Amino acid sequence: MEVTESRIGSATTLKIVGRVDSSVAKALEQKVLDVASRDGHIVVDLGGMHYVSSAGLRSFIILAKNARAKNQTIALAGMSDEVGEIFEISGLLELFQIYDSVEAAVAALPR
Amino acid sequence: MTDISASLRRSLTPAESRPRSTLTWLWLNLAVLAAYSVAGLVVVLFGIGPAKISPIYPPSGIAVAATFVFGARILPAVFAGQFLNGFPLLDDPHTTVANYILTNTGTGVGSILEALIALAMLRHFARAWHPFDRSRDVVIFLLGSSLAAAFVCGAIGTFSLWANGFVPNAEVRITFITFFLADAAGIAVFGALALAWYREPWPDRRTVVTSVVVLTVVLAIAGLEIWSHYPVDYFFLPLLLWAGFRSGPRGVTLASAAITVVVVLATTHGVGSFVGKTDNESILLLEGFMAVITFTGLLTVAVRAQQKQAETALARHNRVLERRVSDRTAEIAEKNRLLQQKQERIDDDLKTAQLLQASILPTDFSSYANTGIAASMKPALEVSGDFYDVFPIDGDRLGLVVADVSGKGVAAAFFMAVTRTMLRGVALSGLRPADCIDHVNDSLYRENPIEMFVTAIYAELHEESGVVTLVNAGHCEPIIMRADGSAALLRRSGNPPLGVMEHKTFVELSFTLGEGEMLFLYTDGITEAFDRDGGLFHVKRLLEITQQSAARSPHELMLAVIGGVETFSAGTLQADDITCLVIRRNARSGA
Repeated sequence: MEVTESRIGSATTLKIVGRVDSSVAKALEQKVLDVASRDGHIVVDLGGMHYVSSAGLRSFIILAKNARAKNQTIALAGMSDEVGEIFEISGLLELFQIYDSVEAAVAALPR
Repeated sequence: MTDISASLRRSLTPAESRPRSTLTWLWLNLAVLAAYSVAGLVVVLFGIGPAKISPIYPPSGIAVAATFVFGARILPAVFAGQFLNGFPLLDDPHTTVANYILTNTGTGVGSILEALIALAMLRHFARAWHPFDRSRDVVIFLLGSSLAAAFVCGAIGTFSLWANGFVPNAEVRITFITFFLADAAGIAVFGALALAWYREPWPDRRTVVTSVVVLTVVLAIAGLEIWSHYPVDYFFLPLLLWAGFRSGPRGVTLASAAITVVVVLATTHGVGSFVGKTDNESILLLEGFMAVITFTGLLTVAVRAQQKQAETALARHNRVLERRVSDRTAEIAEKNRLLQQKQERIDDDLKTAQLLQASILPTDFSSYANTGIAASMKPALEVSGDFYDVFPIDGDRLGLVVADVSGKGVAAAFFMAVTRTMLRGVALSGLRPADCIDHVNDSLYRENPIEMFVTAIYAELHEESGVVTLVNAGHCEPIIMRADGSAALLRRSGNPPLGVMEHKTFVELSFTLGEGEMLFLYTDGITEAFDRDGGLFHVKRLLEITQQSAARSPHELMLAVIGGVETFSAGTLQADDITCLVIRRNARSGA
């Protein structure tokens, strides 16, 4: 797994590439908490994430819970069908705004 | 004015200002007078040539040393001694009572001034009463207390002799030079000797040996010189340095005094390196030699003293440093001890928590006759965030729970206990599983200060019919093992974990467990265990093991799974809590 961080306007973009399972969940969680501690909305680019395990999902739940406490919007962009299904059956889609691409997510973010 | 007189008083303060009684004063003066007079008589021995001019005048050394030690109160003895030492004038045909008294009063005053100047120079510039500790003090002693002081005395003395007609005009210059240099040499050699031995009066064994060796060798060298008539005076130099290194100021002053006496006596007898073409030349050569050995000797001991002081200071600093290090070490040891105590207390607390946690997990399932049950929970740390639960709801129904609290450690364990108690409480009230979970979810969402959440499966087994009603709140997919030996995952139904979203309506599923069929509930500590290369155990391996163990008892299945995980992740640290709960609907006996 690789995570790269960048900024588009006032939003922070996290690009996650690779598989997210228990071996990397801790690192992702740290990164996610770090990003969530800052202001501005968060767009997570999942175009390169081809698998997420239940331990990986925990990082996303932590991100969502922390963001909600601060009224931040979390957008997930470009997730594959498989990953989308994992989120769906885990009941987590509701926690996030889902977009096809990062561009669409950024355009839709509240100003 | 006050400043100058205060400064002068400070400059003239001797080493000893006590005792101050009149009787002591008298005794001190008598003693100094006696020493002065005896030393003065010795001059007769040192006299060179028919005029018996001495190249060294020891009484000036005695006067200066006495003044350094006792101060101005012994000046009467200096004056009297110098006055009395003028007795050779009695031989002079011009001597009258008047010029005798005038001349000796003049030289006496000169001696007093000499002693005072010598004291003031050392006190003022070196702030010491002896020149043995610093090389700078040696220079001050030789230039100020010896040469400058003797210059003044020589000038006054020569003037007194000339004014009273004892020195003709032609001899004024040479008389002054001889007078001046003899006094300077007397101070440098005998003054230093007296001071060194006054400072450390009690000779130790080492000093006694040095003294004996010095005197013997000096006599031996002198004897060699007299016997061989070769100028071997340079032999004295190593002896001088040896005495200085071995016994400090006492050794070196004794050596230079002994060498001086021997060399002067030899020269008076026309032997040695310092016999010049004229008497005056001899005297000047001797003065030069005395200047060299005194300077060399005193400088040697001063440098040695400074070196010793530096060594002592270094040793003291080292001791201070060592003490500080040992203090600091003790401090650290104490802190470590406290830390260890604290750690032990935490360990004890954790052990208690572990016991407490283990005690709320049911382990004895023998009372469930119609249902075979096996369960295990293996924490990654001391305490766990996983738990399972099995409890009868009423005569027909069993409540079954497997749950996993986010995070690990004490916070997770505490949240686990809260969740377990809440869920069991709600379940026993008889609500449908989905309603129970709705209720628990809202409670956990509201009473959750640290944003924790729980994935959980709550299932209700109707023992009679085998109908299972199950709610999966974001948890791993359970495995159903059918009678035909197949094992399949029970898909999730889109419920989130507990404590993530409020007012959520959870979806429940129902299925029937046939006789002999099993339900395998677990946490992701199993499917997400990894091996040494970072590979995941994965649900696929879990399905394989369960399929292979379909015909076995719940307990055997559980052991097979746990054993499989342990073999897979051998050599790695257990990353997460590992929990499983196996349920088998037993065959109906006699029904």
